[in-house]
Amino acid sequence: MKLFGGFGYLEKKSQRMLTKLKVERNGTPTPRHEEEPPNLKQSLKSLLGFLEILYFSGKMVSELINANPIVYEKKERRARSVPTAVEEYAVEPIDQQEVFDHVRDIKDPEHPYSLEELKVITEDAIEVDDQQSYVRITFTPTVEHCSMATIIGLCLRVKLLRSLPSRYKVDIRVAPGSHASESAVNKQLNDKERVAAALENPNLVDMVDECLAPSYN
Amino acid sequence: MAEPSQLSHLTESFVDSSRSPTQQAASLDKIASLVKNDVLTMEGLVREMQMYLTTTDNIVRARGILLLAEVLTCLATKPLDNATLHSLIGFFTDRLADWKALRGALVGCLALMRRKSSAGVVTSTDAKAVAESFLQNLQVQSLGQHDRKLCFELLECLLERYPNTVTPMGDELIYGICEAVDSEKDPQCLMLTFHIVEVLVQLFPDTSGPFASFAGDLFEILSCYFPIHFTHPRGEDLGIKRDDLSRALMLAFSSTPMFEPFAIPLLLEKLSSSLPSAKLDSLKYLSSCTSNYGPERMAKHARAIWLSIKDALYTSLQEPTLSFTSESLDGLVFQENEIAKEALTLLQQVIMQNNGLFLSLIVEDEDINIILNAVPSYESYSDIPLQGKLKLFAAGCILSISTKTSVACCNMIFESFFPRLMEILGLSEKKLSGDHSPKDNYLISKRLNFGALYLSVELLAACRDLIAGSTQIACKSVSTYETSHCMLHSFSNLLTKAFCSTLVTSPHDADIYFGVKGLQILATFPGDVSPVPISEFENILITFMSIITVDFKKTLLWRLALKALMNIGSFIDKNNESEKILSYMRIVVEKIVSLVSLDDVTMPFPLKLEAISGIGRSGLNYMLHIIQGFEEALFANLSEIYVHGNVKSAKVTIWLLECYSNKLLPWIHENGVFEEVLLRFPINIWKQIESCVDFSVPEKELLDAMMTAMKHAVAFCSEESQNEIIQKSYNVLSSSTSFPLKESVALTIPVQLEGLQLTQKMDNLSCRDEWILSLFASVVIAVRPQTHIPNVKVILNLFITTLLKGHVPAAQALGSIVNKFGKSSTGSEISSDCTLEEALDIIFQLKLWTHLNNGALLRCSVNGSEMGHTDLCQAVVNNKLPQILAITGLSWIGKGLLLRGHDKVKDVTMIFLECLLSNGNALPLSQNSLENSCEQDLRASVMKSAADAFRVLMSDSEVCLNRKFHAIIRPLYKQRFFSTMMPILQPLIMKSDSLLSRSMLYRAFAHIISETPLVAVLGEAKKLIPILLDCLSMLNKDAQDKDTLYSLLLVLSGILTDKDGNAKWQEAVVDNAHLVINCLTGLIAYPHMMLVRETAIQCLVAMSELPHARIYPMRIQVLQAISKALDDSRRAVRQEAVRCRQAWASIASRSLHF
Repeated sequence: MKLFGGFGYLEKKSQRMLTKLKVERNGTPTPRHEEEPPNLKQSLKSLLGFLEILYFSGKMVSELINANPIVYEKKERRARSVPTAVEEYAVEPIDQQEVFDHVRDIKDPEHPYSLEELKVITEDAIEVDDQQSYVRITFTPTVEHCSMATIIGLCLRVKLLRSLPSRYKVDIRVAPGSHASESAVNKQLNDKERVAAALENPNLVDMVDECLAPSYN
Repeated sequence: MAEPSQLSHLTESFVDSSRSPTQQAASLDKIASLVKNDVLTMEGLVREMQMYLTTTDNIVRARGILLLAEVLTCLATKPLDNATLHSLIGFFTDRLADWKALRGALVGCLALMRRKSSAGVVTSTDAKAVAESFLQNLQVQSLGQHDRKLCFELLECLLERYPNTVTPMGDELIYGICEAVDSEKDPQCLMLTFHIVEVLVQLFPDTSGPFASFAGDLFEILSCYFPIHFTHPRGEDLGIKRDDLSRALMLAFSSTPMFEPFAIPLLLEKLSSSLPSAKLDSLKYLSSCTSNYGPERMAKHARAIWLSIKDALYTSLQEPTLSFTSESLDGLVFQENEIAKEALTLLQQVIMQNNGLFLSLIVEDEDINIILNAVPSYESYSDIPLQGKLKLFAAGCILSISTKTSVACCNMIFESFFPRLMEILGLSEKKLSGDHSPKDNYLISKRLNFGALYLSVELLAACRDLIAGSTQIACKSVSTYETSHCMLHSFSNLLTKAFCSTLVTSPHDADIYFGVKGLQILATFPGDVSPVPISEFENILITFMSIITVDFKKTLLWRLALKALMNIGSFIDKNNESEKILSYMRIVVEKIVSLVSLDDVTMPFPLKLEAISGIGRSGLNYMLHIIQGFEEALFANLSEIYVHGNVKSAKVTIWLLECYSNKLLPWIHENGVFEEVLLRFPINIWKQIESCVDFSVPEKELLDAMMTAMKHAVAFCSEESQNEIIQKSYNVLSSSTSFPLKESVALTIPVQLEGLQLTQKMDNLSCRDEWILSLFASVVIAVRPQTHIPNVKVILNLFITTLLKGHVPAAQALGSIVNKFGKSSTGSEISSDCTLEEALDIIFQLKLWTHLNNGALLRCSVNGSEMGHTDLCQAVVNNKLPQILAITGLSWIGKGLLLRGHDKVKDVTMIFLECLLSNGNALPLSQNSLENSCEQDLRASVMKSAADAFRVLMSDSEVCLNRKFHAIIRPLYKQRFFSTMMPILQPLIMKSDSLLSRSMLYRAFAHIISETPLVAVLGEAKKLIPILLDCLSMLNKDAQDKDTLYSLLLVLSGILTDKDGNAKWQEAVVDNAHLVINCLTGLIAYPHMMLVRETAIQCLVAMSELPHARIYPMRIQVLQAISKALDDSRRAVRQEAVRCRQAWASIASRSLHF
């Protein structure tokens, strides 16, 4: 319990900043347990889902969850259109392929292949509504019991958070029937608090950043 | 004799291992030169070094022997007598046993053995002693890399230079070499060992000789290296690549037939490896071995080799793609595949060596028969499954290669496969052997089978290539390739019909492609041996022509047909087949020429032009014919316009002119000396204009097209022709009444007055006169510097006055005149013409007049009663005001001067600068506010045109003053202008207090800097960046300046992303980091141009690499600006924004990721 005590008190970002400031201004840091919000237990529980991955992916488990994934070919990229004077003011709404381009090169957490190559993500599994500012991604883990599903989902969320305009609402789901604990994973991925809390964990963030690195090239 | 002390000093400095390598090398050089110049004899040297050579101190002895050896290496060309050589080689031979001082002995032996015969060589007895000592004393594999290399070099030298001496050593030698090369690993040594094996086996060609018993062992040593697996990261330091090693090993493998029992099974085994490089190597090695081992030895492997080739081919071929979309029209394209290529090469090699055996294998091959049997079951290309396609194409490749190999093969393949294919196609022999009348009426009702179509076209192509490729066959009697020839001859008619019907009925691109290809092949069998009679040839041409004229809506078919016609045309033109050329001329060329002149509207005109220029470019004769018809059509159209004012013809004429100047003219120019053709066009144009007394054509585009065509035609002409043209045009010009071209005018009346007079006269310029003037300007623009322009002074005046009426070509012509003036000494002296200085005086007097009086002129027109304010404003808007026109004209003249590097360009730029700086003080303030604002507007637009004049000066023009139009261009003129202007502009910008002036100066600055090569700008980056940034924010305000803004932003981006000169600009950028970022974040939202936004974001990415401490404070600002760009309307901008956001977010802690 003590191990995770540090994360729980950070519930909402604004609140967090305020408390931090308060602590610094007062000069003497107040003991942490006083700052902890009442729903600590729930918050911790939410984190556990993500942290579980750390243990699985870290030194504790040396075996791969899916040792022999099937690798598929990559799809062709969209060629860059040469702008002409006529279409200078034309609008290109954010579409399926663009969102797919954002996430296709994300590396699988346990293989040196991209999510596209492993068919975790396909273009068809992405729904975009530019008018309503809504994106839904349905991804398919390579094996049913894949404990990496949450980290893949987290990567997707972080990448889209960094790539899409702030007006967008992103919904990330595991494909129905493709995962053993489907609803738990979905819940975890779409809970703002849990995601924010997970990203406070430096180890998780390192892992996410490593997976995202190829997608920025 | 050198001083003994000096010598011992030198020796000591070489032997002393504590000296630096350079010192040692220097003393070596000195000693060598002493011996070379006979200051010191070899004997003397040895005597002097006696102590070093015999001492018991290993290190000193080693160095001593090495010194002697190195000296000998330096003396390779110095003649030495036999006794000296004998004693030296004897010494080194002995020393081979001295392993502690081995290096010197090896170097010495090598140096002596490699001597040229003219300088005295080691005798064979001595060489034998070396070899024996080598074999007896040296354990090569226990030595270091460099010594091993020397050992191998020595062995190589022995084998190559003393073959007769070492051969009798037999077993001993071979055994010794096996031992020496066994398990060598260094790439350099391996290159040598492979070569040693290659040379060695050539010494023992006898199969029963001593080598036979060693062949297995030696091959075992070699076989470990196959396939070469070379992991050395970069071959640079060694100079050896994997391919070199592989080639050397291949030569060793194939060096003797005695390796055959070992090599071929190994290679066949490795061919089935999954490693592509192993496959590739195996195929290459097999080819090489086949040619060296001979047919007898290879025969027993034939079946295995054939199976392997087939296998390699099937597995390596990938799905072909139909590429008809691009310009290439390549048809079926396989991905470039090395393995398939090598397999086919090998196949060709083995067939060539033993054609009976392999052909029977191919003919009886089950797989090929299965493929052929499967062919009838699929009707069209799209029906065939992927595997089927691959097999079909593999079979096609095999048949094609085996047909191409030789005449006998061609016959055999045709015999075995052609009738079957014909049967599948429904063209069996029975049908035509019956009687002749139905043969002609025979119609192919059903669609052709694609597989059979493909295979028969491949066979035809291979047969054609075979015949065309070997000229000897063409000379021989027809009987040599009787079978295939007879078959083709009997089927040619039916085949032609069948292919033609494919074109009409087939829905699939692939069928059409092969139909056209088949026809093209039938038409391009070389001349007298062609199985296709001339009537068939004509039929094919007629078919294609009907496609060209009728089926233009089927784009692919049309383009393929045109391409086939072009290929046929250039083929018969190259082979000089007069009979066929005649048919081609009659059927194709004449028809196509008539297309252009016909008023036929069914076929789109651009397609006609594409066809005509394509056919024209396939042969000189055709082009000559076509260009004549083309010109006739053009002039007929023009006269329609001139005489009848037929505007409908204008569009067609513009097309014709464009095609003429873009396609036909460059081809004519490249392909031979058709001076008269080039000359004819401009002269005819002038003649036609001359003969039409009056015409009016409202079409401005037509005049533009005429001018372009005129410029191109004139530019390609030689000097003499240009003289002729310009004389002709001058005559037409002077005959026109509107232009006073009398000599006296220019000389007597003061220039100003004359200008005024002319100005008045020019007001009512008729359409014909305008055409004449514009075309004359075009001629002047395009002539060579040597060409003589008659009556230059008058022409100058004429152009000056017309440019003041807003005639831009006149200004460009003036620029061309001053640019090319005086470069030929003869031209200007003979005529009454003036020098460049005089010409410039004429120009500048007039210009200065306009300039100096502009205030007065302005005032007078503003206050003048006859011109109301609104009129004036209107005049400004329409750019009709003389001053603006003068500035535009002056800018072209300035450009001409700038290009040739004339000093006068400074005066021109000073005039522009004065315009830029002129603030309203010169003008009295008017009481009327409307008047005032009018003046303001007027002044602003004058200043703007002065600023834009700098763009004319600096930018490259397509229209005039470029290499194509023979402009004199001084190297680095842009850099030079840049470096003269920057020191002037910078202080002016700083000092300028008027907002307007300043903005105009910025504008001029932007034009100059964006046209300057980046290298020059980078040098000055430090000073320029602040101004550049101000300039960007100034240009940001007006949507009209978006292009200028973009090109200026590209300069900034160039500075920021320059990789080499980081230090140069980094300081400047770092100092101004916040300014740069402010400016760039402002541009992120630039609404008028997507490229500006994109480039600005890219610049920000580059900025994120600056020192952390400097940019950290700006981080929030950038991230905020970027987050807006994430929602940009354009995809490209959004993509860049994502990259930029990541770059800036990751320079600090994670907490700001969101």
